[in-house]
Amino acid sequence: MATTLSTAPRRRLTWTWLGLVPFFLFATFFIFLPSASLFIDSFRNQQGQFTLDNVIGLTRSPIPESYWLSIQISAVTAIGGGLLGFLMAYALTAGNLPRWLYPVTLTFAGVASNFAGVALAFAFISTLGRTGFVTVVLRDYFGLDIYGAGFNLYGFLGLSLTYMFFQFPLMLLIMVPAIEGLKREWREAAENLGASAFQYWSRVGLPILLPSILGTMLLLFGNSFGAYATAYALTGGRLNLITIQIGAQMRGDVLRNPNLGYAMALGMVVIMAVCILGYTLLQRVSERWLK
Amino acid sequence: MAFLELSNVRKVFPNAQTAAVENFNLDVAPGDFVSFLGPSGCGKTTTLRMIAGFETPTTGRIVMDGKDITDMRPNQRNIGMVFQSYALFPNMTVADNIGFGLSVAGTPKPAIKQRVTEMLALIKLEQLGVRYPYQLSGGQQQRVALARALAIRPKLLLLDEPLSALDAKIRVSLRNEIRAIQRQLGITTVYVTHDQEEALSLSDRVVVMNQGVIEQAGPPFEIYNFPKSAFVASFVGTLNLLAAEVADPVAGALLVDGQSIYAPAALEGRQRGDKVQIALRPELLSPDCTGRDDENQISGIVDNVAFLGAIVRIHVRIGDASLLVDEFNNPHLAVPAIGDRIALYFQRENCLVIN
Amino acid sequence: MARRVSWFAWIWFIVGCLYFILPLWGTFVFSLQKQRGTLSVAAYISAFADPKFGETFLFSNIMAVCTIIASLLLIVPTAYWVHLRMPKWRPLVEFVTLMPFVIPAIVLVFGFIKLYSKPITVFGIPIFPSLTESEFSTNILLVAGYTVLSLPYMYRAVDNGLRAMDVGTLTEAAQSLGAGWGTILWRVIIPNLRTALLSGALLTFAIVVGELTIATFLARPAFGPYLALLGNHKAYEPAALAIVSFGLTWVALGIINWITRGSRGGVVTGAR
Repeated sequence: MATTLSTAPRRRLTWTWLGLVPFFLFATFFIFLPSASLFIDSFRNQQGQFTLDNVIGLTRSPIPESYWLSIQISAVTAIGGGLLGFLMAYALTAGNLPRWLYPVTLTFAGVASNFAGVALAFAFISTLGRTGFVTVVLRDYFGLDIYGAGFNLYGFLGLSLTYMFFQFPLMLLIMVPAIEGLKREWREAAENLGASAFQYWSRVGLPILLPSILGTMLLLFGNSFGAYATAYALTGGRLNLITIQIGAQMRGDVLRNPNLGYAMALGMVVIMAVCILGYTLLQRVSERWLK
Repeated sequence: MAFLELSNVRKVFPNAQTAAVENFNLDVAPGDFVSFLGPSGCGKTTTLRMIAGFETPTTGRIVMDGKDITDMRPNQRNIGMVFQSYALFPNMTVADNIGFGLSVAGTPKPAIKQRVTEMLALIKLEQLGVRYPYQLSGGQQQRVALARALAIRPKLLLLDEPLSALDAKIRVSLRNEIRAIQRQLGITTVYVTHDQEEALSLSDRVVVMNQGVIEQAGPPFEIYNFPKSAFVASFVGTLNLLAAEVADPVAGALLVDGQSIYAPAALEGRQRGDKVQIALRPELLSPDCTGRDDENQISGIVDNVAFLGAIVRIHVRIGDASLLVDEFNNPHLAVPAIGDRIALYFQRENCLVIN
Repeated sequence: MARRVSWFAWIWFIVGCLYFILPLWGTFVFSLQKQRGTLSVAAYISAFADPKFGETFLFSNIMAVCTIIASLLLIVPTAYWVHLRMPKWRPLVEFVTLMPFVIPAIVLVFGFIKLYSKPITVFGIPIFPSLTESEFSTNILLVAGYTVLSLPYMYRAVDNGLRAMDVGTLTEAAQSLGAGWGTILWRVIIPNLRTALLSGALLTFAIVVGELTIATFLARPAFGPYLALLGNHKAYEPAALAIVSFGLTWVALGIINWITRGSRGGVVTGAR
């Protein structure tokens, strides 16, 4: 790192940290203060006194069910999206597909991973809703009445399928460079020592990629856990996810105790923080190996 | 009976104008240490990879221990390979890396453990079995790579510029270790390098390659002292090249910078006035005269005197060219000053005439 | 190694492609079905004809531009400074850019409302009015929220761009030729960051235009809430607008991919 002007006069030194002030000021006012305000007041009651009631109140129905539902959807879409994304990344890189598919697929993935929220909900309603394109095609051409069989787009499965639309491209985009980071020499060394393709992947390739895969799945989990817009636009708030609950809180719909709402937000952030922490740690391991 | 035979091997990559390897013929005796030496792009690594099985020859055959392995898959050849970038598996300990080949072959665990211990002792890293590759230095990693290749008791050992990524000092000690281990095990070895000092000091035979073809193959002594072409002469060791003009082809007389010298033999196929080059090794020039009849003399001006430790290197300008003269260091040596006129002597037979 | 194409790879590739394409195709076809029995662009015409569409779309675009400007003003000097003068602060800065992941939009806007819908007081004396009182100040809050959302992507784009050029040496060269900080940033650094800045800007644009969460709870007339409301009354127009929205995202990201072709460091985004 360049150490320019290390013998600069004192005036220069005070200028230096000033350069970062706007950034941290912004962060304080618009990230840390609002969040801190929420978290601190989750430990207070409506009279302003310190209490643990709200945190304990998180264990009272229907809140644990919300958390649990959010966790379930996030887990399902993280694992499902993660697997599909990984397999597609593998197909693209190590599966010897034609090279021109590369940029096309990656662009598509970039768009798809960014296509979330209201528009995505509409897209799936138009596709798998009661009169949606695929629903109709399945009914008229294949004789499969999915709604008759109990499928509901606005339920758990429907939301999961919708979420997966942006989850698996995200996995794809992160996994492709990771798989390409596997050195060709490892494959050759393994082959040279007698390993078959399967043995290479099971003993060398996948284990090396595992921290990356798990870390990215954690990222997907967090992604899904914190999502609001898609779920709201799709289910209109009927599905009891924790983000929907918090939204209802803000509207003043549900509880008469705003501090409980703060506690819910706190719980959410704790879970997200754990995810990001896990992701960061796994990234570090992965970077060390792929050096 | 040669252990490894390459016959008329030719490799052309798809969409390439020229062949990467052309007309490659080589016999390697069992237990021999052979080096492929040449500049980047000369085809030495490609040839090695064909022996290993990572590339397939376009035409030609490769036979090892009596079996034609030309089209055999790399994981069935039982050849050990050491890569330039070590290629140790980062997710496994040193011990697991070394035992990988055996584990893949289904060897029972106690046997693997024993073999790994043997190998660790061989490379003198007994305590490092539980470490991970990222915790080792470059030299240590390369030794582990060697142990991993040898653990499977291969019939042939291939090394692809194994020392290029290491510091100069480690390179010297490690290359001697590699050679010592190779001698101890008696395993046939092919070693690819662009460093001629490595090739000369380690090998039983050196194969000098240039632009896909073999320029010369033979023991180091022969390659260095009797190079067959200008390329080999200049690539291997330091070489002085001087422009000369033929004065008398029958007598072998040449003119260098107006000075008269004699080649070892008559200059066949040449005529008076032809322009040629003569090549001289620095250590074969000397400011001291021996007085023999077959001695040539040539004079120039001293440009620079470099003290290289055991050797004193004198730069002498003759006409437009600069000549290097190497003398063994001696405290009582009379070192010439820059700008001095100096007379150099060399044996007639040490002068090489090239086109 | 043999370059045999495996059927295993093809299967998963095709499954993935179907998952991408089917919903989009389905939506497209659906959006053309407004007039019973025939395919027409009636839904599109109807959607565009709605005055509220124009209003909210314009509003969101303006907010996007404001966000981009605010974001650039904030991030570029900061990233430059960290790179050049205060590399020890990098972990802290990067920690801040991770915050938008840890504190999702819904929690962020919750915090905004809690903190800024009342005047800010110090010991009972109001020193700052409530930010939600006027439309203008609420819009400021909205832009601030969007800036927070785009922080990670913008920072990563600029950081990658700075890494690709040798910031230290360029700065020293400019200084030795007599340039002050403003000149250095404006004439040396930023021109070399053009690609990164454009990527960040386009990504921010894509994020802001369709955003729902913050806009809804701050009650601003943005495109996202309009779209959600539309979904309650109509069936075909939402599908048409979803296609339009997808098309816009496609264009924005297509431009990013085109201008960053050949350089490393892709910027990815996620859910909302």
